[in-house]
Amino acid sequence: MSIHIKTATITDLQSALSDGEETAVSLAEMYLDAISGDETDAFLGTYDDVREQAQAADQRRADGEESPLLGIPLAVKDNILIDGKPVSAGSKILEDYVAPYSATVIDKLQSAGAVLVGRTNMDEFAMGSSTEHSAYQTTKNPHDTGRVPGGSSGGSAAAVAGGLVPAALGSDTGGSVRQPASFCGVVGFKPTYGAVSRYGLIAMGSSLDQIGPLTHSVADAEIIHNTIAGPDKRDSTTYAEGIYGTPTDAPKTIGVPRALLDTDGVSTDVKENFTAALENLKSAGYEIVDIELPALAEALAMYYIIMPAEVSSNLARYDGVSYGLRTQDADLFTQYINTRRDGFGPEVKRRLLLGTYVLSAGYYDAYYRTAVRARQVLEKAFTEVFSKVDAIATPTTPAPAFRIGDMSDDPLEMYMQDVFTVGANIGGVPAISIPSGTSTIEGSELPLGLQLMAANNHEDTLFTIGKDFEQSQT
Amino acid sequence: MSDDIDIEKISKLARVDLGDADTDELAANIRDILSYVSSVEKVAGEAGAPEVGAVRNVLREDTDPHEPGAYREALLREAPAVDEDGFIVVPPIL
Repeated sequence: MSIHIKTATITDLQSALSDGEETAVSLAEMYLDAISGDETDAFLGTYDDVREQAQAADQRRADGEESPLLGIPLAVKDNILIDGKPVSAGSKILEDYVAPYSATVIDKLQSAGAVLVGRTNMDEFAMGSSTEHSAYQTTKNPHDTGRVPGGSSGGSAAAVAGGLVPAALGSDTGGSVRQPASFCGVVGFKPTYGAVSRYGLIAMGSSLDQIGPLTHSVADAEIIHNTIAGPDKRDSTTYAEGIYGTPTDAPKTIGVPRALLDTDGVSTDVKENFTAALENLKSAGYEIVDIELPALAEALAMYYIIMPAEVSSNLARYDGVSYGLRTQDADLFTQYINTRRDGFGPEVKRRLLLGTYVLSAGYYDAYYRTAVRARQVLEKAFTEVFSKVDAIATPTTPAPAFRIGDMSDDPLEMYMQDVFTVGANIGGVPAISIPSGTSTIEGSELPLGLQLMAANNHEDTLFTIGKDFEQSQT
Repeated sequence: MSDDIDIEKISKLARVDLGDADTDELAANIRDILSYVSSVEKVAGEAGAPEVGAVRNVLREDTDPHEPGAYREALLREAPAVDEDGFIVVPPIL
């Protein structure tokens, strides 16, 4: 079997490795070659020890080791730390920063024998839906290079869709794995909050952030997730086994929050594609029911209070004192404000101001505390709904990939990208985006995605339905 | 309630100089966003008494400390300015 680099799954590559048709070194060379010819600007850099990593993986295989990720090349979003490697979160403020330790997910991937090839482009500090807010470059969508790949994990999505790596890690705070996955026609998975350690992930919104994979198949997402998940003493928000229940029966019922589909700006193509996706799920044996989940429609409003609040607090650490960019100024206060002036881009500054405002005396109750209370209502509503249905289905995005530059004037319009995805972050529940077909716009076939959400710790429900959905489309 | 956005004051609180950014436009952006997010009130009204979630923030046991200085070099390597005794150099506070 020869490898089709654009579509090869981890499972395909693993069988080529175990049959001896390929080695980790030959795979690494093949993908590095593809990366060197990349025209989408998906990567911010490749690592200098890829060959050594691959040789070590081949040695482990020769010694009799087997593991689904042994010798598999993977890319990592530029906000996940690898000891001794540059990592910038797509920001000038960390331009020359070298990670002094590795994230827990990296330790786990390395133990599993994955070969980490490079770091992918992203919106600065994961704030954005297009990679246009990266301080370095705008990644292009491999399906139409005039369009964005989505974001903030746009580099990871473009890298997988373009066949530059078989899979990549991203991080998802409001949809940053699922939305670019949908735009680029790949699978994107956000785990339950606390399923995967955030140790070594550069923080954006700490009560929302989760690390998740972008892959060619649901099975591949499951492989990576199962490798990186689990409690971690270095992240006290990871949960121990038994905190939440696990699915007892095979999933049967899928709920559709009809009211949310009528949100302004949901394209006709997306609605039609979603209807067709539901038909496929029906033909795969699932029962589709309408559900009421009014709080879900307010998730985006909660998000744009809670997230900037956490951003303004998390990004306080970039002050030019102990690491990162520092301007030369006569006194410390001026150094703080000038370092942050030169180091942060406009979107980061906007969210810092917004977060500072909603947390400031006099507005804290009106905005932040109110949003936290609303969040509690959504969490309860999810629990109630998931006692009746096994999963919730929505489109992943209101429209397919937009043109580069189309949304740079109006931040609120860009924020609306997250309307279907933020609910899972606010509620903490797991969610997946699976390619569901295409929409033809101006001669380009642009991918669309189906999103499924499930109860806390019910990732298996999503993998089961996701695989059935993939099957139903073939 | 968001008509009185004082960008200069917030930017000072946020410890960020806005350089040549258009502060009127920023204020307008923020006003738009705040007007959009104010709808959370509708939902918040249904909230009951605050509850503790399933995931608890926990402290580790204060045991097994690492060797003093084990990470010192790796961390100081990233500092913008360090003196010969290994202290980070900063400009005067006042």
